[in-house]
Amino acid sequence: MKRSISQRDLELISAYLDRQLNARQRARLEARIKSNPELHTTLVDLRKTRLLMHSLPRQKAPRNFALSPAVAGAHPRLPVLLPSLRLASALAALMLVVVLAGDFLGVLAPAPTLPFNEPAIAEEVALEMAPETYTEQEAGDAAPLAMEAPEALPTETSVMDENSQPATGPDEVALKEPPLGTYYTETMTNTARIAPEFTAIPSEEAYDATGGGEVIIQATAPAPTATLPAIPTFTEAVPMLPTETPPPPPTSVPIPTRTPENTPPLEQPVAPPTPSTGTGTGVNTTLRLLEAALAIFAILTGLAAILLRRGGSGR
Amino acid sequence: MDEAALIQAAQKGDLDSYNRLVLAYQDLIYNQAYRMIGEREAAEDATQEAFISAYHHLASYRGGSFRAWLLRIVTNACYDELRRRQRRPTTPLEPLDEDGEEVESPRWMVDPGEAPEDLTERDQLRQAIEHCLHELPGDFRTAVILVDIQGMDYLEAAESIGKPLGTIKSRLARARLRMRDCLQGFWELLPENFRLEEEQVVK
Repeated sequence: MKRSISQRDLELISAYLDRQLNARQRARLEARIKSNPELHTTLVDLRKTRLLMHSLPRQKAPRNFALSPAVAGAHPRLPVLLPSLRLASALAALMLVVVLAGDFLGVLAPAPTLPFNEPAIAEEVALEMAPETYTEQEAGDAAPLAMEAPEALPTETSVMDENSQPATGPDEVALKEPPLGTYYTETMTNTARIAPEFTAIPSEEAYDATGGGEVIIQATAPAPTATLPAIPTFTEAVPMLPTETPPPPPTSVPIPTRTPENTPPLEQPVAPPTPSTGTGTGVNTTLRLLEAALAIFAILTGLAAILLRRGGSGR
Repeated sequence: MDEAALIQAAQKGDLDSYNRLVLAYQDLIYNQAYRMIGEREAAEDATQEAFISAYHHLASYRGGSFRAWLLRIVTNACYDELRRRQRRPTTPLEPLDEDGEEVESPRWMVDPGEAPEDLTERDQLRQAIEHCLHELPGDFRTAVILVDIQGMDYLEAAESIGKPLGTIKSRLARARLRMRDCLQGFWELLPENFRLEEEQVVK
């Protein structure tokens, strides 16, 4: 027989049977039960049901469940070690991803390291050089030299070694110039080998303003004491100008348009700056080592966690 | 040594102290597992699993009723077992005869080990109660076992299932109503003292 009483009344009657109502609730419910046969019948039925449940025999444990040392020790304290290994593996993997992403995107790649690469420094050096060259040389004399130099000395260039100092006059510079063949030949055969001695920065290529695209190549040493304003660009067929030509300030010289007549084809216009520098190679090596270490650490801790879990659950 | 001292020693790794706790509670825990699962072997497995799990998680016991804490662990072990059973193919509720037709008599009325005429009324009543108990949803069954069979108060029962007091009240009331509906035809099986008590209910 189905009866329809509210859920609230049902809970009240159930709690009443278990003596879970306070005195006021109990008195109010008893009054309602006396006046409401449906509530009374529900109370009787639930009471019988409750007594039936109590009548079920209590089951005795069929055996002793005490743990033997073997059973108790079969499960090592995994909750302490396992999460630590998992966390370490996850963190290492995350760091590896970050480092790889940074390496790939070039965020972590080292910037060109020579002081000449800094535009402000280059400009400052150029300003130091400019007055000497322009005051000691007549503009009228310099222009013809600049125009004639490529034709008169088509295979010569101004190369300064690491010990070279800023030129104080055309004669001194000319005396210090070594023959062209040394660096020029090396440049044509092995750019990477020359790169540690010369740092070529595309933005700081010094072109002769009047030379029709001819590039002034100046040797720069990695040592911070070098004071030359411009960074050379190594190309196979670009004729070099001697340093008698007054070097114009890099910031004020527009890059001329190269034409096939005055500029040989530049198949390798710019030497890759970063990978060939000594500092960049060191940083890259460090990055690779870091990536490898992170990968190995992530794999090892992950494997250890898996083996530990399998070992723990297999016992 | 009192229970708190045994628990503290067990938390420090003293297996003997823990086993003394096991001996004190194994009947209670096994009874809970048996009433929830309904099979002795599975109840044994759940009990053993619960005691092992409790030993390895003793550090997470932060005081309160140790009995309720153990009951919560074994209840979860029973839920796991019941879920595993739900994923497996199950036998039909009503057994099939030789022709593949369902036997009209309920399964719990047919005990293959005994002839029906040998069953006493008490056994029939027990089987009827157990059958109705296992017809309940798991949450309702847990509530009614904890309060009506294990004899716990509402607060401890709520602690055992990790739910608020109102939840245990609601589940218990609805579970009792379902049990009453299931057992409608068996009131005549009640012992005489039960009937006497019925007459003493509020008049």
